[in-house]
Amino acid sequence: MKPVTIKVNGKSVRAREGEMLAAALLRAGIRVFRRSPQGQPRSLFCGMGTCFECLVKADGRWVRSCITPVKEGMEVEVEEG
Amino acid sequence: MKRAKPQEIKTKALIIGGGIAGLAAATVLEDHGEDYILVDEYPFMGGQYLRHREEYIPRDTETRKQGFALLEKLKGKENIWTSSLVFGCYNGNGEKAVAVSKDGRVFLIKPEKIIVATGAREKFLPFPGWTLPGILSVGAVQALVKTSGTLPGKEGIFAGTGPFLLAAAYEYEKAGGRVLGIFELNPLAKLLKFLPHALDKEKFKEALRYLRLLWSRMKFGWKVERAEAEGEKIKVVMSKGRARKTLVGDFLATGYGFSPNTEAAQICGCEVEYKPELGGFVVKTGEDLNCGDGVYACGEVTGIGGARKSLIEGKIAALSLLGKKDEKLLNQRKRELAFARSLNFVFSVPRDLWKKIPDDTIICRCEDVRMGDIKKVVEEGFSFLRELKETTRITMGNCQGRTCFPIVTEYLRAMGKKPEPMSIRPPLKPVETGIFVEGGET
Ligand SMILES: Cc1cc2nc3c(=O)[nH]c(=O)nc-3n(C[C@H](O)[C@H](O)[C@H](O)COP(=O)(O)OP(=O)(O)OC[C@H]3O[C@@H](n4cnc5c(N)ncnc54)[C@H](O)[C@@H]3O)c2cc1C
Ligand code: FES
Repeated sequence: MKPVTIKVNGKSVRAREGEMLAAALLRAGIRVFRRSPQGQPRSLFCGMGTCFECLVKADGRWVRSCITPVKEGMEVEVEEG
Repeated sequence: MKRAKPQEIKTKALIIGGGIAGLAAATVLEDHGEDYILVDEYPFMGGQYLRHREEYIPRDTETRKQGFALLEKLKGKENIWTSSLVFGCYNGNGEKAVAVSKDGRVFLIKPEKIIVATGAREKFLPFPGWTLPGILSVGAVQALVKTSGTLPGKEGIFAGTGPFLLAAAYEYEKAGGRVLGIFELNPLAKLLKFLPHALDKEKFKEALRYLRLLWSRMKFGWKVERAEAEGEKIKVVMSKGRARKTLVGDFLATGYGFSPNTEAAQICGCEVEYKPELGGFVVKTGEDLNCGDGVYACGEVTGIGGARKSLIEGKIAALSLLGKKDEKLLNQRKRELAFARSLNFVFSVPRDLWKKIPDDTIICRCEDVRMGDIKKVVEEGFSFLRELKETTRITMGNCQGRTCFPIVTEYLRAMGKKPEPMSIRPPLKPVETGIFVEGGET
C-alpha cells in the first residue's frame, strides 16, 4: 500500500492509500473518535458501517471512518476531549 | 444550498449489495446478457466474506475460490458501483424508483426488477462497559486485519458465541497478533452433541485448521460479566457459574452471531418474518427467492447461513428473475438451510441471559439508553414497540436501531412478548448521506 499523508485536527498523520480511515486513526494512537450524548468516549465498534460510532468529519462531510478509504491530503476532524 | 435534480437511470435489474450473493446474481445476469446495475455502499465489492486487500487473498476453500473468481470476472465494469448507498425506494405509476447516494450526489435508478442482497450485521449481548474504546465487534477486528492490514492491539481477548469468533481470532493471530483467550458462551457438551451432524467436509477442514492453532486457548461456557478501562488497556471479568476470571488485554472482541440487514428490502416493499433459527427477522420469500412485486432476496437477508448459502441463493434469485429454475441449486439450498438451522441453534444465547443484563448497561449506544430505562417501560405494561421507542428513544439514533433492535427483540421475547418488526422509513442511514440532516452536507 502506497504511503499517503492526511491531516487530523490540523496535525499530519501518515497513512496508507486505500486503507480505511478508522485504521489510520487507530495506528496514529487516536482512540476516541467521538462523544456520546452523555459525553462518553466512543471509538471504532462494528467496523462494517452499521453502528455509526466511528463518525468523523472528512473534507467537511460526516463519514463513517470504518468504510471510508483515506486519500492523500484528506482533512479530518475528530471530536476530542 | 440548492441541490441539482437527481439523475434518472433506467435498467432491467438493480442488485443491492455486492457481497458474494449479489456478485453471484450479477454473474448470472451477465452470462445471460441482461442489463443490470449492482450497487454497494462500501468502497469495494465482495461484502464481508471477500473483503481482502489484493496482496492478501486466501483461496483456502472452494467457496472462497469461487467468490474471488466472481470478483475477478466483474472487476472494473461500469455498471458496478461502489460507495453507493441505497437510501430510499419510492413507488409511483407501477414503477419503483430507488434512490442511491454516491459521492454526495443522488441518482434515481428505475429498475424493472430488484434483487436485494444486503447481507447481515453482528449481534451483541451487552455487558457493562461494552461501549468503551478498545471493545470492538469481532467483525471489526477481522475487517481491520483483512481490509486495512492493521491490528487493533498486540494482545486480544475474544468473547461471544459462534464459529466466527474462532475464524477472526485465527486471522488476527496469523497477521501477527496474540490471542489471550477465546471465551465461547455455549458449553462444550452442547456443541459436541449437535455440531458433528452439521459439519460437512469443507467446513470440518476449516474448523480443524483453526482449532489446531487455538484449541489450548479456548474456554467454553464463559460469559462476559463486565469490562473496564485500565489505562490504555481493557480489563475483562469473565464468569462461569460462580467462578470468575479476570484478563487484561489491548482489546476485547465480542460478537454473538449475525442478524439480517432487512431494511433495504423492507423499503422496497418486502415483508419480514421472525425466525430465530435463521438469525432473527428475515426477508420473506418463496422457494424461488421471489418476494413479489418484482423484488427478489438472496444471501444472509433470507436467513443466516454463511457464504456458501449466499453464493447458491444469488444464482437462484437471478435465475428466478429471468424466469428460470435450476433444481440442483434448489436442493443445494435446502441442505444449506438445514445447516443454517443447526448452527443458529447451537450458537444461540440462552434466553434468560437477556433478562440478566444489569440495569446500568447501555443498550442503545446512539442515545445512551440503558437497560433499566427499557425495563421500566416494559414493567409498566407497554404493548407496542412504538411506545417503547417514544418513551426511551431506542432505535431513534444515528444507526436507526441496527445495533439495539435485535437486542431489544431478544429481551422482549425472553419476557414473553411476541417479536414485532421495526417499521422502516427512508432515508436509510441519513447521517451519512447528509442530505436530510441539519448541519449535514451542503
Ligand atoms: C462482520 C462480518 C464478518 C463475516 N466474516 C465471515 C467470514 O470470515 N467467513 C464466513 O464464512 N462468513 C463470514 N460472515 C458471514 C457472512 O455474512 C457470509 O459468509 C457472506 O459474507 C454473506 O454474503 P452476502 O452476500 O449474503 O452478504 P454480505 O457479504 O454481507 O454483503 C452484503 C453487501 O450489501 C451491502 N449493502 C448493505 N446495505 C446496503 C445498502 N442500503 N445500499 C448499498 N449496499 C448495501 C454491504 O455493503 C455489503 O457489501 C461475516 C459476517 C459479518 C457480518
Ligand atoms: S464502527 Fe460502526 S459504523 Fe464504523
